[in-house]
Amino acid sequence: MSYMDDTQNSAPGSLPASKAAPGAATSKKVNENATKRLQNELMQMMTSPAPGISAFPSADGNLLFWRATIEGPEDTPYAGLNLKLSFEFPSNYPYTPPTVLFTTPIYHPNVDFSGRICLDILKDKWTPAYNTQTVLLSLQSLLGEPNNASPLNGEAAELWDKDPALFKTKVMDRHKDIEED
Amino acid sequence: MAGLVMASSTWRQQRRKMVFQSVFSGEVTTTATTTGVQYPDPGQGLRNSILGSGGGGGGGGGGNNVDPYLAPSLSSSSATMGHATPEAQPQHLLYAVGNEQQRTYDQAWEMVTNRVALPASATGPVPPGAGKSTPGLLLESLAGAPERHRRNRNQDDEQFLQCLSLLANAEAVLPEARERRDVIGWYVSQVRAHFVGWVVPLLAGGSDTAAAAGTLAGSEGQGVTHRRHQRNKHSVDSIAGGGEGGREDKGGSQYDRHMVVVMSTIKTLEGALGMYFEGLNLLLEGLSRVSRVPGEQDNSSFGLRFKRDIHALIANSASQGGVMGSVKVVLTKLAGVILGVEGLAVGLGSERGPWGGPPAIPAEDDSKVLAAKRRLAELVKQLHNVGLTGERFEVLFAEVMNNMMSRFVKGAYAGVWAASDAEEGNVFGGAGTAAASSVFTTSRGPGGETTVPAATSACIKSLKGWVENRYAQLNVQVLSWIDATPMSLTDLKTCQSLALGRLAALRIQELFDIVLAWPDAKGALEDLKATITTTARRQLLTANFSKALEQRLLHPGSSTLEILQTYIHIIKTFHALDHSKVLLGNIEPSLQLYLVQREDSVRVVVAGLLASKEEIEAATKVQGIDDQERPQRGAAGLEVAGANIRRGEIKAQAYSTPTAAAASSRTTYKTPTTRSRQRKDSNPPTPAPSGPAWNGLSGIRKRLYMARKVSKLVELARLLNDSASVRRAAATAGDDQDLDWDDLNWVPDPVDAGANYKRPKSEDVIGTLISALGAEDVFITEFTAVIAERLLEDPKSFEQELRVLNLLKRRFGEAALQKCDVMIRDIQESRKLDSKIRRNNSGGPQPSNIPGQPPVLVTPDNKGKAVATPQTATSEKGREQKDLEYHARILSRMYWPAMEKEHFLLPAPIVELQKQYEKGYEALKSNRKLNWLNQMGQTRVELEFEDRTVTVDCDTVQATVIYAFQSDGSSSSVAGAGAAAPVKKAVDDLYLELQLDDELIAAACDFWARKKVLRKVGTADGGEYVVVERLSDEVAAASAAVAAQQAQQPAEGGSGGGGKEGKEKEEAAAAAAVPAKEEAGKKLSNKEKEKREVYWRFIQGMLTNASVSMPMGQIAMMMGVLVVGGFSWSNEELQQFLGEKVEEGALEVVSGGKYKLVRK
Repeated sequence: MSYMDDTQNSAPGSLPASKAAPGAATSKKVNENATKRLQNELMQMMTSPAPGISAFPSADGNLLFWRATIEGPEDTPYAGLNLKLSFEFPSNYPYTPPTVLFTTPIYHPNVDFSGRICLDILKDKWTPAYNTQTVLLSLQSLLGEPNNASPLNGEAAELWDKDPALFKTKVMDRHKDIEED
Repeated sequence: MAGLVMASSTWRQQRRKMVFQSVFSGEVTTTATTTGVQYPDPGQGLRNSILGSGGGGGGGGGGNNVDPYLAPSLSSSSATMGHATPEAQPQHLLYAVGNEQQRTYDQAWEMVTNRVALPASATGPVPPGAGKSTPGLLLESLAGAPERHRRNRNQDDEQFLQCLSLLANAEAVLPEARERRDVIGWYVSQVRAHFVGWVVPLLAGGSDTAAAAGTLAGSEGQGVTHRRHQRNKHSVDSIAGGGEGGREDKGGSQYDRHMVVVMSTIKTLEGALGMYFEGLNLLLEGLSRVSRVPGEQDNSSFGLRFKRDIHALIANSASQGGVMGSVKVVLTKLAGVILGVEGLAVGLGSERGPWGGPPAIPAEDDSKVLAAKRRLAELVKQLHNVGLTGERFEVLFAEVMNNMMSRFVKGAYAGVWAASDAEEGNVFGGAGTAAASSVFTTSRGPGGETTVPAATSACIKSLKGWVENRYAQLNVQVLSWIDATPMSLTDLKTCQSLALGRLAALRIQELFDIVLAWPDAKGALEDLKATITTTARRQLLTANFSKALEQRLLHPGSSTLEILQTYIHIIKTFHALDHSKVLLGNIEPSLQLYLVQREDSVRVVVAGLLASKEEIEAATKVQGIDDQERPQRGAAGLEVAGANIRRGEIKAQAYSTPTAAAASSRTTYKTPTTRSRQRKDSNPPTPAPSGPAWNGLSGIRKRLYMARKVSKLVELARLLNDSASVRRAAATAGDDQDLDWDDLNWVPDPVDAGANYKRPKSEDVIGTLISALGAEDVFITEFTAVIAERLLEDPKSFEQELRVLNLLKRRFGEAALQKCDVMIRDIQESRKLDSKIRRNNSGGPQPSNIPGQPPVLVTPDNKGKAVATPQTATSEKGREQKDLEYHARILSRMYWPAMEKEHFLLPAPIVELQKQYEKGYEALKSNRKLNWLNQMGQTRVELEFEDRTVTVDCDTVQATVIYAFQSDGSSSSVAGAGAAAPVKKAVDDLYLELQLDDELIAAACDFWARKKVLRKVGTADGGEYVVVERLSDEVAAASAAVAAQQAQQPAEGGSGGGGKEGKEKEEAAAAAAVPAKEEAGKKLSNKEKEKREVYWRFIQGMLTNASVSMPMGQIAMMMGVLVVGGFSWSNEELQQFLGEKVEEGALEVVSGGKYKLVRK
């Protein structure tokens, strides 16, 4: 009888365990989907590149962490500057947006001093139809057309319209090429 | 085969041992012992002494036998031996001195022994050497000896009897004579000694003679000893020689020589035996007459015993010499003649050609046969008389008969594969061979499968008849002559089954050739079917066949087509052989494994399935030719030659079929792809999973493929046509039930069937082939590719395609082949659309009068492929208005294999037409857009020169290129006021003008150069070409340029080119293929360029974002992880690529061998 009891006792214990396993598998699968999607995005970006932007997974081969570069567009204060960004993709990407930061110090109305960006498509307007390339293109255009209605950097928003020359100076002062490694 | 031989040889050994033991009564020794003398003779005190010394006294046949009775005389006189000579007598007397009775006894002894002494001394000592060279002479002396003896005997008869009675009754009459001897015992030992001393050397000498004869007396100068050393070997050689049909000329005389040996041996022995028995009879007679104790000895039984012993002695010593060897040769020869084996060519069917009938076997009442029979009877009886027909002879005879059977089976049936005629087979009777040869007519059976296992083929019947009527008969006769156990009925059955086993072994050896000869060798298959009744034979068959397969088929030298064709034959053959398919299943794996390694095997099968009726007919014709040629040609060359012929024929047909007699130009081009509605992403088309062969439809490969396609596996198409309905019925009816209850020919599953074995319903060649080719997706992909190609090129009817499609659907399911359905529908739709669009565009069904159409043209072409055809007229005069007809085929991009778009500028008129077509299409299907694949079209071009007009069907690239020569030409000729300076252009100029890949331009120019439309005039900038306005110009220039031109030709065999020329061209192209390939290696294909581009962006992105500098290994690693579809470069290639980039200045190498982007 005691043997039976043991068996019965062990059964409830094993149940949660077996439930946990599919859960783990599911998250792993999500992860796989994300990396697969990212791999395809990368491939697409390489076969049909957009001018002035590039992105690539980090050197450690982690596909969920990318670095990107935007060349400052001509006719903007950022012309000629290389701006670095980092992308951190959640494991359920593309259903939630990546976390994007400027790693290069930048003086811009919609970017704060720690590089955080105020851009609707990276927040509530995100849809899975966007991808890394579209995000970069949006950011590139943001450089030339800041949304001064909701600035993170009020001074910059003010100067953008008032004193482009000073703005440009501030941009150049703030800018610093970062060299990894 | 090996198993059988082994079994029989071990059996033979055991048997021989038994015989040996029986002869030697357990005392197996190698010396020529005279144990035979051990007759039981109780009461004879001297027996022990005889035995005692006799046991070791048999001196190996050399004539130095030492015997207690002989020893004294041998020591004193080497010339006389074997009998008590007068010289020997005193020695007896020596120890008899002082005993009167003893002396009397001794005198009587002397008297008696003298009387019966064997006569060697009477003829004087004959040196053994003389006997060897003239055995006949010696025979006479031996035979004459008894005569002389008899003369003396008459005079001394009285005395002899007295003495004999004295000796016989010595106990009573001469009690004092202690030295008493047994006169019979003495005589026996005399005989033994004489035999050993005189007869054995003769026998040995005889065999020596034979041996020497066998080697053509080449060793005349050699000593006797030496010859004896070689004796055994020689006699073996000569036997072997006698057994080979090849040495027929020599074999005859050899037989004669051996016959002489045998006969002389027999005579010798007869003489000797006569002598021995005469002496013995004399003694026995006398003894019986004088005996005072009647019945003490049973003379007649003693005589028999003596006879038996002496026979044993003879058999024993004969075996040691080569006599038995000679007997064997003689027996072989005679039995061969009697059984009809002699004269059969021994060899495999392949040497004689598979269709030769069997040589006629001489009838039983043939005079030669009768003579041989008489001779044999005589011989055997004689041998029997002299005691040479012991167990040893039986063994020998058995060996001979065994060989006979093998030779007969091999000689009579090798390569005789004709099918049997059912009625004819039964009549094998007394005149067996006559019936047999008529059965062997090469008439083909009705082709119906004889499924009744009991049905026997002609070969089997004739073989059984032969065994029964000839073989067994001979056996029975011979055995009765020698008083051996007669053959029983069981023995006959055993013989027959043995013979069938030999036949099976033969057929198994021939099986590969039988397969190749399918279906003409059905007779052989029946043989095999009836004979492979045991698991061992089945295993032997599969093992042998697999080996043959590997040696003869599965090597790089045979084409995939050949292999597949053979495979089809194998399937059919084995199905006929064994309905269970177990045998086939056993040999298939290696074949399938090999086929899977051949990348083109799927394509060959698919192409075969899709072969058109014309191709089938052409192939049938070719096969007819092949059949006629087959006798002269090895099977290996067959397919190759066949393919050549086929190619020629089909080409001729292809050029006659296009109907457009009046059409000035025609055809062409490319297929717009319709985008499916939902798909709006801008991605370039993802590569469809197409087989590698398909990628370059535009390229050389396709042309090669088309050229080769004519040699197809048309058998498959034929099967498909013939039996589709039958098989369908069978498949639907039989799927769910395991057994066909109505099958009267049902047999149980073979024992070697596996556990999961399921009886297949039919031979189902196509099914077997398809399943043999591995994964179904591979097959479907390949099928899709082939179907796509066919749909684009010959769209008249899809009957064949649809049929194959249906077949495959049954096998793989609807869903898997949905693409093909869509493709076929596309083509059908295209036709409707095409006519609609043209009607709409032109306002009428006839496109001929489109206003404002420039001198360009497309002709009506019910072939429906979309496209533009440029017509180029290089002379201004040719600028009459011509109508262009333009057709398009509209493909649903998602469902067709990926087709790369080749960019180039079409001639303006064509572009115009395209635009109109596009408009028309969009009017009909508003949501869709056409995407032109310009390089895929077909064009008919008419060229007018000063002295000729050339009409050519070509592809659109070629048409575009030649059009470029025209447009330029028109302007220059207008300027030149009819000076008609031929247009001249460099490839590089064309490259700019057409924006077409320069390799394709060069290829197209070469194409026109071969048509004598253009001529290559320079090599600058990749080559310059000039229009050949007059052929006479070309002739002059050609001779100089030909060599260079041909060497330049890229390998594009046979897409154009009229009949005769075509072949030469193809050869030239083959020769040029290697340089062309190398060139291709240097100049990168578009694909490769694109790949490099993408990889370079990867590296740029990597070095921009991931890390500023990276070592090559890390770059390779990341590429491997990140490139979708896999990174296809090796480290060396990557290294080289990076090196190039460093040279270009795009990269630099920094510390640690890391690469870094150069900052601009």
